[in-house]
Amino acid sequence: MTEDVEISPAKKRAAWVVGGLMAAVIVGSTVVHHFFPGVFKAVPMEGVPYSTPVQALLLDLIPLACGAACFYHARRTLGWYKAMMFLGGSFFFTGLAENLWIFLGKHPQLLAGISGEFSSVPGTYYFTRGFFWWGDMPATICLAWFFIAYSCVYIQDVLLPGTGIWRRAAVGGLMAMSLDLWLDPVQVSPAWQSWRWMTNETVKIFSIPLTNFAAWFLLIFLFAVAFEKLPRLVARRGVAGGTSLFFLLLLGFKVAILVSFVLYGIPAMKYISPPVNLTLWGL
Amino acid sequence: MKRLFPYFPIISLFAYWLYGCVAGALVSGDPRLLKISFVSLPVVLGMALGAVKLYKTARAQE
Repeated sequence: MTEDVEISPAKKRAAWVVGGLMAAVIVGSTVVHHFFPGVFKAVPMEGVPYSTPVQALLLDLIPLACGAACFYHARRTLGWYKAMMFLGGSFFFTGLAENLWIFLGKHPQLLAGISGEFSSVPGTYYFTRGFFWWGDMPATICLAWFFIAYSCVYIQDVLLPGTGIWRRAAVGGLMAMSLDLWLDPVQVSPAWQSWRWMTNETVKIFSIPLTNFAAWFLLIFLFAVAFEKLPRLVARRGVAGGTSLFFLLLLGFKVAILVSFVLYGIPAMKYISPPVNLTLWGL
Repeated sequence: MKRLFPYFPIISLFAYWLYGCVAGALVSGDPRLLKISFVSLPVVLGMALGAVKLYKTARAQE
């Protein structure tokens, strides 16, 4: 990671635009979620532990502190522009992906419209508690994506300097996936219920859909690849063009993940019967 | 603070792992959730190796 202290007015403008969009999305979503819950078909919180606004805010403080530490580190080592691109890129990349899956889960007829194999799918998943929101997901989950991606990319750069981006990105993706292999079963346990899985996917690990872990790997892997390309995009297309292309590249990756999961899901729903759940100790 | 700065990303990831995984599993009271902790060994190993490498690099520069 290189130091980039100098910042041009164009980079400053791009960083502020991304920051402003993030703030607008969070403020708007948080207001809608708390005062107009019907818009997102928000699920009642009965039975969800630590779900009062104060408890949700207190629990949000931990990822907020982790995110602040990573953003400070990024700001000092990468400069304001690249730090904001990392934060905004991961925020919109993962946020749009998760919001799309949640939306499809709340409107399963759309999934059934893609393929008849999905006609029995009761939903995907949804989040329960949260104080700050980005669409239909807690904003701190997006922030967690940011600092997990940033930390994994940083560690891979420390451990494998001079190695090609594909190998480093794969190491980062595997680290993130290994984190979630434990995180997900813990957070969906009755004691936490931070999110709830509704899907009847045919292959699961610890009762969590296989595609969830694949998504963890792919999101971090592809984001690391896209971020590595950012300086070259800016050098070739200028700040505005390069920044736009960076977000378009992330959008393209997101579409590719969605298409690949649909292409995996159709034969998996059709041919894998009975469903497989790779469990240990009944989890 | 200046010496800790290079470790900030690792400390953040470690703190989230402690909160989301370790403390979460302990609070749940379900021993099975602690038994599957081995699945997060790769990320723990990555954090430990990264911290050791940063420490050695800093010492070599002193």
